[in-house]
Amino acid sequence: MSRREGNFPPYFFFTIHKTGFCKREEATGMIRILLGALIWIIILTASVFAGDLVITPEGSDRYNPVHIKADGKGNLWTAYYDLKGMIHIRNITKNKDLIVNEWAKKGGSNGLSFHIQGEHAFAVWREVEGGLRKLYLRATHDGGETLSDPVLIDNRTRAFTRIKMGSNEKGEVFILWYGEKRSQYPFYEVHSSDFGLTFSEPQNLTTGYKESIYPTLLVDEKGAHMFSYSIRDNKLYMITRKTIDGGITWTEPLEIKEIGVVTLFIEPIRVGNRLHVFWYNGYKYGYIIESAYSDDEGKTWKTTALDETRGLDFEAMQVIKDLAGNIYLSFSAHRDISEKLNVYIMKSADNGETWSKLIPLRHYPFENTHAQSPAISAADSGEVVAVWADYRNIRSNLYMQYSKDFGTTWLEKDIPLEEPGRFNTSLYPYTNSILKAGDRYYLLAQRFRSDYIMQEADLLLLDFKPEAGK
Amino acid sequence: MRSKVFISVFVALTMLLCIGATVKDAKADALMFPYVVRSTTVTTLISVVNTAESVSEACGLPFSYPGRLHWEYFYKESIANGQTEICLEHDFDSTSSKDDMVTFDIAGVWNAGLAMFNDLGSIPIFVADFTLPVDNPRRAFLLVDNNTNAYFDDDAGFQTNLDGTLYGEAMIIERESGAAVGYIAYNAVGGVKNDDTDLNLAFNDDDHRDILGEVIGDDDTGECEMSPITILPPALVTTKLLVTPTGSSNNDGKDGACDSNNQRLPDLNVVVRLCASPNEDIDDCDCPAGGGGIWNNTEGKISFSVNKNIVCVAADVLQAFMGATAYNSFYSSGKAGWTYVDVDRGTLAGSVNEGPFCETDEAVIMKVEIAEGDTVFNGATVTDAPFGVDNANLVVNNLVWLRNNRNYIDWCDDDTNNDNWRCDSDRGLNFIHNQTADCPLGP
Repeated sequence: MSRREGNFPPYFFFTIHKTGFCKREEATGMIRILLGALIWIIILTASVFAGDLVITPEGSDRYNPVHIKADGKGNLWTAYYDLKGMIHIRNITKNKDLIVNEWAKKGGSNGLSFHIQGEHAFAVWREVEGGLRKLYLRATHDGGETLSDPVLIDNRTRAFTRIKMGSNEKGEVFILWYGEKRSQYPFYEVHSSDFGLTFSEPQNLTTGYKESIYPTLLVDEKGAHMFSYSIRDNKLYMITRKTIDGGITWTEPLEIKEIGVVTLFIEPIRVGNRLHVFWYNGYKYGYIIESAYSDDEGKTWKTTALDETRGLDFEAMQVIKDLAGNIYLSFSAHRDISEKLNVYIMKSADNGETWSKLIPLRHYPFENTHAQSPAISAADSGEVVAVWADYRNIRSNLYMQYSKDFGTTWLEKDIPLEEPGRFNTSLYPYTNSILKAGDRYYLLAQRFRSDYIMQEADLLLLDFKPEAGK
Repeated sequence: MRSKVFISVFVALTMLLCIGATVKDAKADALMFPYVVRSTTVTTLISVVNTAESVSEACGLPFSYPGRLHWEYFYKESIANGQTEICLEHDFDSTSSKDDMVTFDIAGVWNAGLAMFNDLGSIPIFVADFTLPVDNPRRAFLLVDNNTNAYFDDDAGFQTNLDGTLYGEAMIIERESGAAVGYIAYNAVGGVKNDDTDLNLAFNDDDHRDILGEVIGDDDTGECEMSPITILPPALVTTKLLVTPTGSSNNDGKDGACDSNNQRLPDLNVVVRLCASPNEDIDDCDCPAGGGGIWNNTEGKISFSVNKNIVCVAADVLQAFMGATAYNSFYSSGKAGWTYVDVDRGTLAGSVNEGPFCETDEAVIMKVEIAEGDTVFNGATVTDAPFGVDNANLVVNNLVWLRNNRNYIDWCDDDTNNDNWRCDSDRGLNFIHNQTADCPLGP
């Protein structure tokens, strides 16, 4: 009888065959028989449900962000909207569910940024109250046992719902969003030095620029870096600012490069001492991913274009790293609207100096159906796991690929993570849907209750080991 | 012999006496049906009214020139109907008479493509019927004019086919679901040239010839027109743009061989883009740097830069004008949105304008919206199962002609109105602008 091993306590929701049931009790013959039967019943039942957990039996709101996080203490967390407009932050491991906006009227809450820092979990969202757009933060500081009072972050900047948040172990919490001021769209920032108990007043980080609409934040123990696609004098720039004193002061805006029109994706990461930022932008000749990196904490930057991506029309994009200095860029794209989307990965083994060719993730001989919204995870061991929504069965099903050698080789065939063709399941492409804990991977997906993807869906948590697929 | 001479003299004298309007520089009339389509389930019903009287009619004589109306289809080269495919041409004449109306469908579903509804007076000439005789499916535009010898004779000094003597309507019918949309044919003011050697048909935007703003233009003559457009959630409603480039005064391409002011070209090429943040200042007609994109219905913006080339006539889904990234983000938001539709000079002829396309910088643009009957809008289906019909078999659709015209109207000339922003706008009458407010409490 197998036991789940790893750094996480067993999840009794879907690993009912825990150690307790494997121990043999000294008992009379009849008790032994009954116990044995009970064990088999439970094992069979557990096998049916193993790897699948519906987090939202009441349905979830697919139009707002969903998040999955691990807190490094053995807990899995998720954050999402239910169909009544309530925002849940849920410690799945401890089965603790907290609603952060219980006073809100349905439809008044929008957007969601969710972040974990040890025992602290933070949720920030926008609330429209009395005609005003307000940003609120609500937190739990005890691993989900209790909720703090809501903190009003802002009610004057006419905030939009693209909200970014980051924190570090020093207790610094940074929140970045964009607002509206006389048809200009500046970035605003607030910061806390006490794990989100109190915050500063909002400050404008893009003075002198207009239409900064994709707030992007990278926070670590050294401080915070802001990146923005911003417009000045009819020219478009990738700009950056940083703070190393908890947000009290920020460097002057540095124009990394004059660029094209960015659509949605600006992804920063730090690999060792090198800061990277990737963005997806369009010029007259078409779209391309460009990047820049800095080895002096953002003072100077070297820019490059990933020529393999030239002319690709993207649906989703994600950048991850491993501690060995490998960077993985995953995305779904096609070259023309007449083609179906496919999922790809590109890899740099030298911290962004050079890049591989496009590596198709999907190992399937036919090109007449879409594959999209890839989510990837990379471990220092060389294990790279990718999951995506695949339409080869007409309905959207989740498929998985993995590599054991840092993305050099992959399986010959894709592995379905659910019964092919039976369900209609997809991934939310704008937050990271997958994470690894111990030797298992955890994936947040949206399973529709019918073939109509604009109707109700449940939020689903899947867990699997790459070799088994389940 | 004597009776034949007498008849000839009588006809000549009669013609001299039966003189219509004699205007040396008068122009004939023409209609443009910018989008017609036929397929196994779709046809387009065309109706045309002609109010010009021929001399023969006035004098009670038999037809001198049986060809009264001229019909000309420009249709996509293949059943693929590619966005940048050129068109081929098919034309013919038909009979007509003063106050006559003819109705037919271009696919020949009804009455084998002949005039419908007990109409014996309109007969196609030199062809079997009025249809577009090609394989399905096919998109096209249709030009109809009365610039024929039946209605003018320079030597004899008469003309009756003046500007404002043709009227037309179209109805596009999807026969499996019963969905239908329609429009009034575009009749540019000023008519067409009536010189026998110059058969150009001009429907361009110059000099505001599109009185009702039928053409969205953007050229060196300052026609910096855009049109606002609303977009319903793409997961619920399919939105398409129907685009037909119009020949402008500065067509360019084919190494200079593109006629100006001519719609009778099979390869007119325009660029269409969605511009969320246009310049309200006229200095630059282009969508400014970073201006491309859409707004959603909670004022959030998605930016993109997509310049969509169109040739001859096309119908394209929303994603083609947005790119997959922006489209999928908009799609997954479940929100509606809005933006401006903008045009620019086509780019397919290349920087040296060698062709094979004629680049123009204006177009007729329509929006079509299609929803299936069982689509749910906020908790209720679009249709309500009338008479026990299954909602899933029904289709709801809508067609909107996107209009703008940088033209003063009498209303704006009135001193009491001329401070209205729309009268003073360099962007035309159908252009909405940002109107910010100053907070009385300070910044």
